[in-house]
Amino acid sequence: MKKRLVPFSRAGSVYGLVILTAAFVFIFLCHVAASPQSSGDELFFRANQAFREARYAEAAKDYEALIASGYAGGHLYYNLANACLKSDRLGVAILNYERARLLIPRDADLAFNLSYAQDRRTDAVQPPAQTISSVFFWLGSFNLPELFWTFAALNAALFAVLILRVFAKSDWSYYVFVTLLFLWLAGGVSFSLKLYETSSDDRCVVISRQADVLAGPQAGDTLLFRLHEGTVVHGERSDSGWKLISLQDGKRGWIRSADVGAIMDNRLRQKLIPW
Amino acid sequence: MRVRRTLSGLFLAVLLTAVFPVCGFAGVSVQLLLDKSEATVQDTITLRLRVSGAGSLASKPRIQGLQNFTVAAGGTSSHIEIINFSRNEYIEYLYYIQARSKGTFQIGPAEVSDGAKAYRSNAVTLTIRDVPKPQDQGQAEGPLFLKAALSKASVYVDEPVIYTVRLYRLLKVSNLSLEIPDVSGLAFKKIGEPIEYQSVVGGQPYDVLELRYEVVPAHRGRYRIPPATMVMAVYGSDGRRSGFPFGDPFFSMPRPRPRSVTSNPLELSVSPLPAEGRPANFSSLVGSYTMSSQLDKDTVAAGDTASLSVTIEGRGNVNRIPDLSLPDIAGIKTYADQPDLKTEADEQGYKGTKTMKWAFVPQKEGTYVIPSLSLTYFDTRAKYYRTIRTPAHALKVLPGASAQAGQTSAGIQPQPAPQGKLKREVVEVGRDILPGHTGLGDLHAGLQAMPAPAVFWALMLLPPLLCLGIYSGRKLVNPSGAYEEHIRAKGALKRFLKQCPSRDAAAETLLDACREYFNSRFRVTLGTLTPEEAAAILENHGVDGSSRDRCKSMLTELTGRIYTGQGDRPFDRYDELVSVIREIDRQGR
Repeated sequence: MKKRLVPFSRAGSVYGLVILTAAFVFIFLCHVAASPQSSGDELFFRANQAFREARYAEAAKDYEALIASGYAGGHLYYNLANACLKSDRLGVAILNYERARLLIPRDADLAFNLSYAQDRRTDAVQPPAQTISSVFFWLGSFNLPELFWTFAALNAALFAVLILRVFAKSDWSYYVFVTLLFLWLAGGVSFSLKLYETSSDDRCVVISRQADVLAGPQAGDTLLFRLHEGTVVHGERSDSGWKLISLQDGKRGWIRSADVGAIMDNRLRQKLIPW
Repeated sequence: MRVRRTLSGLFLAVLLTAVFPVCGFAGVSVQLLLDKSEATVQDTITLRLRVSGAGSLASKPRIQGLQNFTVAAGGTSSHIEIINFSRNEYIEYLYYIQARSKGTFQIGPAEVSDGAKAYRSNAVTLTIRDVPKPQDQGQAEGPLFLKAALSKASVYVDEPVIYTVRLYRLLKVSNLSLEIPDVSGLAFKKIGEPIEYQSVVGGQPYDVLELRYEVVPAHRGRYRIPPATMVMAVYGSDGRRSGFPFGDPFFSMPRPRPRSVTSNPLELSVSPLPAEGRPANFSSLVGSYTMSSQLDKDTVAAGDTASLSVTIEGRGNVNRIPDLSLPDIAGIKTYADQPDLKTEADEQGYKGTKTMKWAFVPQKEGTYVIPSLSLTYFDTRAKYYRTIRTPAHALKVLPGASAQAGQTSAGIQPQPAPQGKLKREVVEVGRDILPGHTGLGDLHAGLQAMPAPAVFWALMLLPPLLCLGIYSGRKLVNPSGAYEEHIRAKGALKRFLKQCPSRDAAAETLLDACREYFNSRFRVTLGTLTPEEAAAILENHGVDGSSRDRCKSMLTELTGRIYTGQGDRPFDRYDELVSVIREIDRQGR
C-alpha cells in the first residue's frame, strides 16, 4: 500500500508567490503613503528668515502659503501661530496652536507657547471639554496617524504570527500571539476612540478682536454676550454666514462665521480623515 | 489557562498595591492633645494621647504632670485613615481630667513603650482660672441655657476680641443652629470647630458646647451685642409637662421637641487708637507682632541670585499686615515675589504669618547693603505704637562666573560646601514665546498624516485576508493533513539521534528510541515494539530484506538484554543500529 505524499515543490511555489505578491503590495502602498511632496524648502527658509528679522506678517504669509501648498505639518502650524502671536493676532495664533496640537501633541515648545497665548486671552471661559481624552488620558499624547500606524503594525504582526502558526504551532508563537492580540485590541480601541474624537472635533476659536453673539442668525437679533479673540467654543451648525456656537457653561448664540475659525478645517480634515 | 492565571495574579497584585501601598509602619509618633487650653476647676477637660505607627503597646501610657488633676480613663479607640493612598493608623487613649486648683500646669510628656523602645510625646500647657462669679457665669438656669462672654470688655479699634457662646445642657439635643447677633461695625469670624466638655454650675454637672468667634470692631464707640439664639431639637423632659396622663417614663417615647434658647446680651467698649506717636504711614495694624529676616547667602558672584526673606508673625488683625517695600539698591536688580499670608486659628483667636521675598541679581562686584525694613503696629498690651525692624544685611558680590573660573585656575581651590549648595526658587523675570521650529525636518514632518483611503483599507484588510487565504489554500491543497505527517516523519531520525547521541546510551533507552522512531516515521502508535512487528512495518514501507533482517536482529538482541537485566548497560552494536536506522529512513516511504 503506497501512499503518495503532497508535491512540496508545487505547494512551496504557490505560497512563495502569494507571500511575495503581498510583500510587494505592502511595500508599494507604504511607498505611496510616504511619497515626498513637492519642494517648498526655499519658501520655508524665507519664512524663517522673515521671522528672525521680526517681519512677522511676512513670515505668517509664507507659512500660510506653505500650508496651502500641502506642507500642513504640525511644526508649520506652530511656526505660523508664533508669527501670528508676534503680529498681535492672538485668536489666529491660538487657532493654529490648537491645529498644531492635533499633529504634534507631545511638543513641549508648543505646550509652553499655547499656555502663554491662553494667558493673554480676555474671556474667562472654560475650554470645551474633550471627554474621551480625559478618560483615556494617553490618547492626548498621540496624534491620529501615530495611533493608526501603530495599529497597522500590530495588525500586520498579529496576522503574521497567525500565518506562522498555520505552518508550525509552537509554544513561543502561542505566547507571542496572545501578547499581540492584547496589544492589537488595545491599539484598536485607542485608534477608534481617537478617530471618533478627531472626526467629531467641532471646536472653533474666536479670531476677531471682539465678536457679538446674537440670539439669531441676523444682524438685528438681540445681543446675548460678547466674546474676545482666542476664546475656544463649540461650533454647532452654520446658516448663511452665521454659526451657532455654545460655551462650556451652556451659553449659546449665533456669531458671524468670519469671526471664528474651526480648528478642524477642511485641510486638516483631509489630512487626518481623508476618506 | 496559565496565561489567564498569570494575568489574574498580576491584576490582583496591582489592585492590592494600589489599595494598600504602604505596608508596615513608617515610624512611631506620640502626640498629646487637649480640647481646650483654659478652663476652671469646675470644668472637665478631655485629654487625648494619640499613638501612631506602633502596633501595640507593651504597657499603659504614663503621663507626667497630672498630680493636680482628677483623672478618669475614657477608653481606647483605634483609627485607620487612608488619605491620598497613604495609610495612617493610630490608637487614641482618652482621659477626662479636672483640676483640683487654679494655676498654669504643664501636662506631659507622655511616655509609651512597644517593648523594645520608649517613645515620648510633646507637653501641653493648661491654665486653670478662677471660677467666674455668679453674675458672669450665671446660676444654673434649668436643664438648658446659653451663655455668651467676651474675652475683653474694652478694646481698641481693629483689635480682635473673642466672643464665646456656651450651651449648658443636661438634656440630649440635636440639630443645633446658632444665630449670631448682627451688629453694625462688628465683624464676627468663627474660630475653629465647636468643643465639648463638662462643667459644674450651681452644683450640677453640665455638658457644655462651646463656640468661639473673633470679633473685630471697625469704629470707636460703645456697642451692645444682642443675645445670641440657638435653635435645637430637645429629647426628654426639660421641666415642661410631658403630656402623658400619668407621667410614666416606661410608656413615654423620646420624641424631640424644637426649642430655642437665648444668651445674655453683652457690651463692648471700643476706644480709638491714640493719635500720639502714630506714624504717618501707619497701616492700622493692631496686636502683637515679631519680624525676622534672612538673606540666603552673603556672598554671590555677579549675575548670580541671592534672596531675602522677611517674615512677620503675630496676633491681632493679621489681615492688615502690610506688604513691605524694599528701596532700590544701586547696582542690584531687585525682583519682589508675591507675599504669602498664612493664618491659623487657635483658642486665642487668629495668628498669622506673612512672608515676603525678594530676589537680588547684582550687576557688578562690590559690597552692598540690603537696608533694614521696619513695621509699625499698635501694641494693645503696652498701649503704644511699636516699631520693629529687620537688621541690615551685607551682600558681598564677587566677579562673574568667568572671572571666578580664572581665579580658580590661578590657584584658589574651591572648598566643597559642607551640606550641599543652597537651593532657591527660580524667579520669573520676563515672559515670551519659545522660537519656531526651523529645521528642514520640521517641514517634512513624519507621522502626521493618514494614508490615502486605499492604503488605509489595504493595511487594515490585507493581513487578515492574507492569513485567511493561506489557511484556506493550505486546506485546499492538502486537505488530509499529510503534509504535517510528512514533516513529522522527516524529523523522526533527527529525534532518534538526539535521544541516543552516543555509544553510552543504555539498551533500554535505545529500544524506546527505536519505538518512537517507528511511531513517528511510519505513523503508527505502538506501545511496545517487537522485532516481528518492526519487520512487518518495514516490509510494508518498502525497506529491503537485508535492512529488515539486520534491524530485526538488533531489536531482538536489545529486547534480550532488557529481559536478562542488562537494560541499563550500553549497547555494543550502537554504530550498527544507527547505520540501519539511517538506511531504513532513506528507503522507507
